[in-house]
Amino acid sequence: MSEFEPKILGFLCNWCSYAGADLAGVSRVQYPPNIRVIRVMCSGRVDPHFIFKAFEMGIDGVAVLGCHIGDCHYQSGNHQAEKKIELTSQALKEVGLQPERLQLDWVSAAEGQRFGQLITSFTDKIRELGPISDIPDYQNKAKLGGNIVGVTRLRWLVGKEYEIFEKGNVYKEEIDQDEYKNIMWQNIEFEFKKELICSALAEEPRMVRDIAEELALPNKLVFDYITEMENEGRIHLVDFDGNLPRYRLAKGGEP
Amino acid sequence: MSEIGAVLVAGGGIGGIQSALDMADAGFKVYLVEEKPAIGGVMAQLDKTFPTNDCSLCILSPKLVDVGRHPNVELLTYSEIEEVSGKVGNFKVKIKKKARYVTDACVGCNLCSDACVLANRLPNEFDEGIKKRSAIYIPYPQAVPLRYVINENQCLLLKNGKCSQKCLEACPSNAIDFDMKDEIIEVNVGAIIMAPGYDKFDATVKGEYGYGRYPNVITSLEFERILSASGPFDGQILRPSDHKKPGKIAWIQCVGSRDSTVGNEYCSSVCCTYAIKEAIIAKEHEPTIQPTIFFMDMRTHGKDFEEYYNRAKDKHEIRFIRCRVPDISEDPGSKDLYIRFETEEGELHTEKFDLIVLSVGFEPGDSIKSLAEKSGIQLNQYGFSKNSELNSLETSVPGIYACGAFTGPKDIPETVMEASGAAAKASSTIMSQRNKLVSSKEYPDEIDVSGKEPRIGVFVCHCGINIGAYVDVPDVVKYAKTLPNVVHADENLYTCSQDTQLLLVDLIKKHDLNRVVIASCSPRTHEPLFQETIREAGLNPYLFEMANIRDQCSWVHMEEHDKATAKSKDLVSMAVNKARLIESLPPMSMGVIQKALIIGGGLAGMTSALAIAEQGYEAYLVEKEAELGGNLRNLHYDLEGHDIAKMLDELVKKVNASDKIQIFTDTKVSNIDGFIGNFHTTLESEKTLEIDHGAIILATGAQESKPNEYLFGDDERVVTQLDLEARLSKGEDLNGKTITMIQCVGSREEGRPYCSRICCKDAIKNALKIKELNPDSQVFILYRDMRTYGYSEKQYKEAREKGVIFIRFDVEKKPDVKKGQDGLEVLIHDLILNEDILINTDILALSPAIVPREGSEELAKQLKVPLNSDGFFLEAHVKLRPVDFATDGIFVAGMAHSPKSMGETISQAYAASSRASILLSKDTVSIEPTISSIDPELCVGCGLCVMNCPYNAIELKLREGGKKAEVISVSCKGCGVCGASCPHLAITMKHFTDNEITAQILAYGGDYK
Repeated sequence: MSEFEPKILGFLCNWCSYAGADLAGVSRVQYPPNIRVIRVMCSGRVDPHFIFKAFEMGIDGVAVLGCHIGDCHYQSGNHQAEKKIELTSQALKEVGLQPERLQLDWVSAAEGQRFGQLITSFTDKIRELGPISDIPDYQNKAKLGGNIVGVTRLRWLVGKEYEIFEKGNVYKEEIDQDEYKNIMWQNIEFEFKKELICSALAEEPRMVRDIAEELALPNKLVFDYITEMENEGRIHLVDFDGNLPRYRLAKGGEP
Repeated sequence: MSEIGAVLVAGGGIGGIQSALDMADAGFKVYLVEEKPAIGGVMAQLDKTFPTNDCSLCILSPKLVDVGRHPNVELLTYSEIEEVSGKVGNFKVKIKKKARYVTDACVGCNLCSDACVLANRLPNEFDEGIKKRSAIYIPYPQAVPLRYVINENQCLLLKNGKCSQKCLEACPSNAIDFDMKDEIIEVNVGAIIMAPGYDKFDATVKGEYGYGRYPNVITSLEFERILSASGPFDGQILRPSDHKKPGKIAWIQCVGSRDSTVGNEYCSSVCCTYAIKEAIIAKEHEPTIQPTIFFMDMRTHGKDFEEYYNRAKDKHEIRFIRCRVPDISEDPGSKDLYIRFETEEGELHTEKFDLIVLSVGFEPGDSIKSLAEKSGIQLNQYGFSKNSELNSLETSVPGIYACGAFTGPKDIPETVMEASGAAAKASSTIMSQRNKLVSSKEYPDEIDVSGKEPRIGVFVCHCGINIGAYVDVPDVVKYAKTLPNVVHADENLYTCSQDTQLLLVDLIKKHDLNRVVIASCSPRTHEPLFQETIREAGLNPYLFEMANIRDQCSWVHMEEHDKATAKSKDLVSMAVNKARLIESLPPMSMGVIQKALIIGGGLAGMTSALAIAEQGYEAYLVEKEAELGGNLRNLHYDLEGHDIAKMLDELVKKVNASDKIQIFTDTKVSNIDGFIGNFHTTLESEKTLEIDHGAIILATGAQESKPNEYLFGDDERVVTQLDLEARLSKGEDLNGKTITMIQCVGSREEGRPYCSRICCKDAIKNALKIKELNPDSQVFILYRDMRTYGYSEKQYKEAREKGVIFIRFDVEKKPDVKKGQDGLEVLIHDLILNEDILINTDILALSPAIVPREGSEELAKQLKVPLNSDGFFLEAHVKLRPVDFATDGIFVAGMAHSPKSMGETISQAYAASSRASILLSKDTVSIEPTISSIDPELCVGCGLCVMNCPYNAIELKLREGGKKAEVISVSCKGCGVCGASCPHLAITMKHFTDNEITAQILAYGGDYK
């Protein structure tokens, strides 16, 4: 069997990293031909759901490259990118996809050589990790991940993080950044559990007890999530099996 | 009578083209006169350009196309200037339009040329005669205009009256007209710009090198053609005698330069770097080639050239031998060549080479002589236009300006700078007539494609061999045809050439295409050109996508043909899948504040401010010191004997006297907001001040570094060249003294690899001054390479004649300086004598590196413009946009860009002012419509986007249904951060929508939904 050739996707910002990649070409820096590039104006444009979509499509590694911190053509876009990639990595970990498959780095317009080196080492790393398709159920996992990063609350938290810690909140309160992150990571965990419950309900109406057993979660916890999702309109009560309620997915089922 | 709002540009090389474009864009009518049948000049002949190895034609081609279709430019090719009369503001120029014998019905199909009975029998000038052509021909495939020409001295019918005239039969458009006659026209212009370029040195004059007798001795320009994919051997490196691949190739430098035996004392300035380039490219083509470069001094004094030289030595293993080659001999049987040479250590060698390239220098051509005669311009002793170093843009005739090699040897960026500079001079002459003789460009109405099924055309470029040699282009085309909504796919040799541009317009119409995908080079360089083309076909420019299969594919996977082809297919399919979703975006524009801010009040800044004022616009000149002048305050005289203090004084007076210039000394720029046409800047001095302006010229200069070696700072006898100059200008008596100078102090070594360019000239200047004032003094100059490029070679020679002693050293064996009994002891290892020499010196003058001005980094961040790895400001393109930044509306002049002489600084300041004035001459500037928009239905008014936007371009407005976020179009820069953040996915980033980006991802995954 021939050696595994990973599929790599790069999101490159127009002003620095894309220019750096062009310079690599002009300087004839040679690097592995595994990468395909999507040009965006700013690394801050990269929405986390693009990354999960890529993994869902069987792409083995995603690199997001922007201007060096401080050099962003749009002032703070790369800071935003940093926060979003952090969130995405956490969500990857949560759903059981290797976060190492996602890399954020900085390449300036003058760093053609560095661009080549980064792509070479990233390609090698992904080659070592093996195909994403080796991860059981990777497509579904990526889909769940995509749903998680689409949740309004999480998008709000991550969108605000840079501003809050750079400029402080309107009440001039001191907020602990670790605590802030913990809240986000907890939310990712909750959303993941909720996604799992939704998946468990995908086929037919079921009872809390059955779902809890399948997902190896306490009955109480599953019940709490189901109540929450009922409030969000994602789950409906269908009927009762004896005196135990059965639930099904609302149309759409997504947040 | 008032001035005429038109200009004549003589010469259609890169210099003439740039002048013409600047003038035309600034609202003047331009007549671009070229003797040859097509424009492009020498740059079109080059394969690659140093130091980036950009494909020369690829970067030139967009300019050719631009000038060829500019509504304000009238191209007069195959035309000669007969007579110039009148004076500044109102010249009359008689021009002979030579008969082409081909009318403008010509479609450029080449059938006539194939049919010609002399086909492949006449030497093609464009290929330096190596390739053959017909009597009816175009100089090169990308020629502008793409119109054939018959050489009347070669055509059998025109010459002898007898021929079977097969061309007439072959021509499908009846474009051949043997009755055509030369035509004399007269044009009326307010100013003239001379840009006739140069001739290469005739190498047959150097009989000892056997050029013309030995087939395998060729000129550097011939080698350029051999390297070129469209050249005589399709880009294969073969030697002329037997078409075999050469193993060992030698370059001989200074052929026809620095050589008083042929009358050319001057250095041609560009040959060292072009020889390095040719050697690198040759090795890239054929790794087995072993290049050797024989040189006297390695003059890689341009921006980033020294690093290029270092890479050539270290990475490409190119051999450099310091020796003037006396002669070449040939083995008459094998046609192999032999060079006898002496190494620096004095060893004699004879070595065999398969091919020898003569690095021929610049000479003033016949056209320079003829133009000078007809217009009364004075020439210098070498036959170039007679200009002072400090005024290379003006000829001896008022109203006639100069650029490029007309005034002496220059490289491309210097030529382009001068071309813009000459345009600034010419525009100021006829400023009152701006926009009087021109009309704005008309486009066909845009076709409404909304709701129509996408019909995509895919064009895959070979880019000569740049893509074609590493990617199976026909296979990519075949694949493109299988993609959804693709109704047409084809390949082009050079998609950017004018003929292909015309073809694209035809094909768009023919196939009713409503989306276009081009797979070629980078959208960063070529997207605007292609967008313009599809606009001419009636399509909105945003119905366009590019796949970068050159810079990011063929060039970086040169050894992996199949994988590079597969990658190209993916890139094309991703572009196509996005193209299925892209939409027309209506154009937007906004007003321009017709004022410029100039940061830095030194020579560059003051000159820029005056040039802006001369063109009729207001300038704010900001200087952080208490006085204007910058480095000029420390200079006293130059190599030509100008009194610099006097010059400074006059300049300051002029700036002060101008009612268009507002000066702010002791002032710093504390904040810059805004964008092209509309900047808002906060200045800080004793009080804070806010100003609005449309353009920025950055002219912050550079500074002398403080040496940290050779006892500098420890011993007061160790000084810098500037200190020495100050003392000399005060007339200090140095008779009986010994003065030693050390060059490259802190330059050209690890940590600071670049050459500071002007120190060699400065050392010579001070050495000559010492000798002039103190005949009884001893001067030593310890150097690594004397880089007295251009005319200053003459003063280098003069210094030697006056007894200045030059001793070369290697960077590994720097001189050793000690405090001795009777002075400073300088110990240097003389490479030629191979022994140590001890110099007891009274003064040790160091030539310290020129380093970026303190605070450059902070300023770069404020302006959001890049610095290069040496810390100098990095222009948009090192060859063709030497004074522009990638960010629109911001320009650079002077040493902020890189170390340079006063004359070069002045030219660049004029260039920057020309570029800025083009912008200031407009009432409005169009802005990119790629901005975000917010769907009020989905927006919940949470305000996250308002908080995220770095440009305050989103505001919350109270609307029906509550607060809604709205985008302020003119402020939005299109970064898309808001789109990636919106919790309710209510924001669409136009041209980079979620759906479009997802479509690219899906296509890569093999899914077309």
